[in-house]
Amino acid sequence: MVIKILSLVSSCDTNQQGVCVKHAILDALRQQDIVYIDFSGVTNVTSSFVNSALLDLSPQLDLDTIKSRVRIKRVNRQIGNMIKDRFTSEARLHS
Amino acid sequence: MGSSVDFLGLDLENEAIKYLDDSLFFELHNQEKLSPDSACRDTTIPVRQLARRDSHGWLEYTFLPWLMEKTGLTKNSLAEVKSCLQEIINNISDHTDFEEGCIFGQWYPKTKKILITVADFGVGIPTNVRKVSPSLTDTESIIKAAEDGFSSKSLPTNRGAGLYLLLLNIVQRFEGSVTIRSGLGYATFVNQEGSIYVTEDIDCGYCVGTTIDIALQTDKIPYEEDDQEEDLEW
Repeated sequence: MVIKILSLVSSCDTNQQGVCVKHAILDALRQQDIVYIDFSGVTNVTSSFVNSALLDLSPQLDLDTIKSRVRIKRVNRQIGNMIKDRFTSEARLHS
Repeated sequence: MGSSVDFLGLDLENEAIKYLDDSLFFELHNQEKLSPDSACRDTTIPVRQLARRDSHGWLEYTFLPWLMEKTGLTKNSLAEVKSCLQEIINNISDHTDFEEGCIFGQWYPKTKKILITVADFGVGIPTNVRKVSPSLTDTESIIKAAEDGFSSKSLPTNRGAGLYLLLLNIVQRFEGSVTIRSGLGYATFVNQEGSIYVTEDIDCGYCVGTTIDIALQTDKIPYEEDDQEEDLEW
């Protein structure tokens, strides 16, 4: 299953937009083992968005499970680095 | 409620006063320019108040096109700069009672340098940090606030990433500098041999709220085409 970010939110700036994406991911993960998140057309994301959309999946899934079941597609440098930076920091805080 | 401010005895021939007038400082704070001949300079994005609700549109449709035109860089190349400014503006409404901050930008074409300042008139970083680390000085509070994972938990959703990511992107990755003033605290973060290094100055006067200065050599920002997208490799 592919979730297109811009079909859910107009930009990726706020916690609220991240929460909207998180709910879509959780719904999809109940039906599929692997879910693809397509960021095509998105030029930047904030940490608030990434925290709410991806890191807040962690009560249901550990970080390694999120990485393996939620595949991130079509990101630019900023989005890719932001997601990796936030996962690295979160893993360090919980190690 | 508020204060009435009168600007008295200003020398209109003074270059600093002319610069402020051209930057629309007096128009913003006094509803009129000092001189009718003052006009925004081509290398300046004039000072303005910016609320979180308006920030995405202003960054996307005013600031970014201006910076792209000046630097010749693409939107993707400048995505980190935009994201960092969005984080700072988000912080203002998360950590203060104010919805608005002030923002100003100056481009230096000969040296390919951009200076951006964002300020707010909230309680300031030291007051928020001392809620969880009460023994710190104002400067120590600023340095603490910039640590990865430190949060004063003004909101339960905060994870303490905003200032750290500002330093990671602007200082470590793009070799720029970030200066933060708040209360009596002052810290400048620079890149030293690939790492973030902080200099302190405890005698710089009092800053109401928080002021953040970002200085960047735009030729240090890696170029990326706007259609360059790839799948994330962990």
